[in-house]
Amino acid sequence: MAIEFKNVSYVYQPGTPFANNALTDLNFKIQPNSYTALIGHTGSGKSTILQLLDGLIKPTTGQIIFDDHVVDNKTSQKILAKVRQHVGIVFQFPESQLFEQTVLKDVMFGPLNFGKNPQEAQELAQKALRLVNLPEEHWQKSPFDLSGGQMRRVAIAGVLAIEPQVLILDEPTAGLDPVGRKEMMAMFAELHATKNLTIILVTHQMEDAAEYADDVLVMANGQLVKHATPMEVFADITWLQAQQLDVPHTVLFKNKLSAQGFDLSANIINVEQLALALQRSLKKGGNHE
Amino acid sequence: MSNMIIGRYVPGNSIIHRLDPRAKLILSVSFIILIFLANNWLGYLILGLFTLLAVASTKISLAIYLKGLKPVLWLIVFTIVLQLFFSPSGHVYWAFGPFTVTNTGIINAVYVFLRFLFIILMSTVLTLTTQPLALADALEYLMKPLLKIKFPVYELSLMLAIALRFVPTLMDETVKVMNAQRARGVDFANGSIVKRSKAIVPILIPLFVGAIQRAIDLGDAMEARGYQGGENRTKFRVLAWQRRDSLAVLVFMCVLVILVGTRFLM
Repeated sequence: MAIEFKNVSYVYQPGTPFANNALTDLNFKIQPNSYTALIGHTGSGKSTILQLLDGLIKPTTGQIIFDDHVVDNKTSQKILAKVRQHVGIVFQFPESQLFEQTVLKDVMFGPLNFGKNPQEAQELAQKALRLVNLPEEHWQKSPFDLSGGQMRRVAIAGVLAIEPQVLILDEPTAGLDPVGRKEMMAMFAELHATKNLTIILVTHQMEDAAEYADDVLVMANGQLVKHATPMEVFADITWLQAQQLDVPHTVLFKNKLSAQGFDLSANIINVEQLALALQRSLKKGGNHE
Repeated sequence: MSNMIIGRYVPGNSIIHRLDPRAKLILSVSFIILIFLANNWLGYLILGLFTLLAVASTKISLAIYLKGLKPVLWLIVFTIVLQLFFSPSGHVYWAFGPFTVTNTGIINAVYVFLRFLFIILMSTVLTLTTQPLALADALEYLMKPLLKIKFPVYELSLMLAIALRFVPTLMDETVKVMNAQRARGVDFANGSIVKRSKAIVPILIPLFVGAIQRAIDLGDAMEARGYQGGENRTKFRVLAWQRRDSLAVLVFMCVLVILVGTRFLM
């Protein structure tokens, strides 16, 4: 599913002393089956974009065009509910949405709400729980008896169970240990590849954006300041620093190697590219030392 | 949630904002008693002018005050209707079964409406111009005499301060959980009452779990630092009674005297 923002602005609490311009005149398009990273520091408007993407709020002005629905300021809740059925969102610390008595019931909650019968809902829930690799022995436990990482998997399964075409991830790895982090990101990459999911990832981990995304949106003060490929965004260290964004470790490491005399191409942002380039450089004999 | 005006602080620098919270608290409570001193139109006129003066000097737009009236509108209407139709005495204008409209009934209805209006406006002045924590401080100060009878004043005011502190946090949390459940297809706006009340469960349980966890963490953090209220503890926010506070009390006293005067005059 493609999503297009056309002149979208959003104001919090318009007409009160608390009025606050969160987004100003956004224009961009998210292609079907793409993996888009949304970056920018705290308060840049990322969370507002996420809520707009899932039809949780309506734009103050402008339009958001989903495949066959157009959302603007006057769109009815019915249409928004339809949008939500196709767009799944995993909020930050999603384990705080768990409430049911068993893991399985919690995951069935979404499908049941969207009109599936209990039989179908259970099948979808089981499928989703397998996708997130949660062992079957936990399915009948209370979600509150699981570890933090497992709870997060249950919460993610709860979103996947509604079979969304677009999956929005708001810092899905926050608070996880490095191994859990890696597993989680690998899982999303696999879902993207095998389920044709369109993924939108909000992250502060530039390495993740450089590693997995094929499109990057950079936000600052409620405006879109750059929409480009990860290569264009992350190779430009001076620009990144001017935006007060981190530079991926891979890029920093590559630059240090280049300074030491390694012959590496400029187009390196992720680990695999770096490894291949290093290998090539070493084979050539290199001119270091 | 955004139309909850009562209990919401609007930053500003008006004379009312700068008044000592103790002065504002005492005067607001006394005002409620003051209202019952008025028993004729002149008294209500003076009270009305005084209320308007207070509202105007906060320099907060009237629209916000009107919004604050909305949640209690039905309570006001209900009381007015009671007064209007069920007054037993006076000259009868209209009667039907148990319902009678009399001249005293109409007058009482108007008075009750005005009392409600003034009390709500005045308490809104208090909450719009005073930070909740300042109010908690004021309350602690005013309760201090109760220490003599071993009343846990510090503990109580700490509880109050913590509760107030976490209202916005819980509100944010509620919005977050609601969004998460709406994303999973819950519809809070439509459906039967049964369906809608069922939709509350998926919000309440995560909220309780989160709040209890937060309370445990906060308790641990306080214990780890050896927190103990009361004895020899200095204050971060020090309250200072200024001349303008005495002036506010003086103005209030004048209104009081005038009101008592109108009782004899009319």
